[in-house]
Amino acid sequence: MKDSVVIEKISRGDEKALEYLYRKHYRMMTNAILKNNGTEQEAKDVYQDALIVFWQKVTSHQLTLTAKISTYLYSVCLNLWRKELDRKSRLSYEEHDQPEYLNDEAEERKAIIHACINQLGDTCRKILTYYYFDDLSMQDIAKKLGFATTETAKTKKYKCKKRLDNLVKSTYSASDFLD
Amino acid sequence: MNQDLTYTIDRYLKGKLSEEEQRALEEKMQQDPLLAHEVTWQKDIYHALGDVRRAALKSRLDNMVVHPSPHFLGQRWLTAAVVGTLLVAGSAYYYAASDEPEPTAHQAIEAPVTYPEAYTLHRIQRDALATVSPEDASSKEAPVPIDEAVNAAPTAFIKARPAQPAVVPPQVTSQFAEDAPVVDYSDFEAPEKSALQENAYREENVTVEALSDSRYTFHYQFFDNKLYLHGNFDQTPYKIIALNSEEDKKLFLEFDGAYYRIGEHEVAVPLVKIEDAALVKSLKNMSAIN
Repeated sequence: MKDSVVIEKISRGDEKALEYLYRKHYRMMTNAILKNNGTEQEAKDVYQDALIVFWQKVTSHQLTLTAKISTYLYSVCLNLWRKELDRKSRLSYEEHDQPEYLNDEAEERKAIIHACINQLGDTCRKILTYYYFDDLSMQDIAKKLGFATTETAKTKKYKCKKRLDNLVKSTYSASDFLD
Repeated sequence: MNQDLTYTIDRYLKGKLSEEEQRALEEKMQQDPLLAHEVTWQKDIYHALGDVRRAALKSRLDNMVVHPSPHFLGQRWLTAAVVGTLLVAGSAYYYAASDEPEPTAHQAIEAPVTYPEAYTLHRIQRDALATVSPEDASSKEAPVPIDEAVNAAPTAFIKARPAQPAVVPPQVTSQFAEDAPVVDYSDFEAPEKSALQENAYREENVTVEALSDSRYTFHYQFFDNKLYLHGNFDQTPYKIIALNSEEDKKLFLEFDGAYYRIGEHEVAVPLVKIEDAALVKSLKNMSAIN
């Protein structure tokens, strides 16, 4: 599959194209990390993270690629790996007395929201993640999920978001009372 | 909160507002603490949805088995074998469908073919040879593509046909009423209640680890089929129940007389008790049988 075809498919949220890319460049990308003091697992993690960065940039139409996909991926991989190496070297210098509870309230909010997202049905979860993270158009979301019309997708997204908002707010205020 | 404002906040979070629009919203937030509070929540929800989607994509990639790319000699051999067993028209069709200029048979062997495409091509062309004749070609219905890398129907005798995606009508689910004025939450709950009766209980090879000295009092993490329970799980026994439906499997925790949903979470999240009486009853039955 040509790069332009892959990008076209990804921009519509076609995950099979993502899988295709993953396989296609696996050796090349993981080798780059392995040669840079990374383990097999670290290389895999960095590559996956890099690919997801690429995915999101394409689905949300933030990327105009002039070079090959592999060139772009390669640079994202190395950037992420460099950041990770920095983080590891910083940790080795600092004492291990970092405060564990960096921001209790924010952590708690995050946990509540995750639990609420988990309570949504698969369809709702997909609609919302496709809309907010992938930033797919309602048309593409409708196609991906098999809705009859774009309007259906819009309505469902509205209902799902309302449901999530209500779940979050009711759970949060409920937990307030427990403190 | 009106829909316009909601939409504006959405665009704000996605970084899509113009500088002017952004300034206007931030000014509004300064003047209205309730709005500021709302935006904070929406920002957290936005990031959490991102985390969830990233984790889902990552686990999808992680679950793939990646074969090392075949030795170049192997690729050539495979391509040669494929081309060698096909009629010339077949291979001319393939190269016309992709954007290469029509090559000679010799060139066809040299052209690099990526591993997945070669396999798929081989299978499709083999099927095409078995079933298609020139007269039948037009009346043949376009089958669902095996792999989206090959974008055309396997009618081997049509030349220079531009790549077209096979049209697969979207699955229309009839479970929701588009015109219903009443908000219907039946889709929002997981799992479908009717599915529970049909599901078989199956042994799950989920590894469970209970961590009692954690900063979390009653939480869990679940990813890669590994469940980490945070809290006091030493005194009372617990049980993992798996319900398998057509599309996926859902996990539940039975502990101390109550049931909790287990979803894919790399970040520790609280265990939320299931209140739905019908679901609790089904889970009790499921648990009693096994």
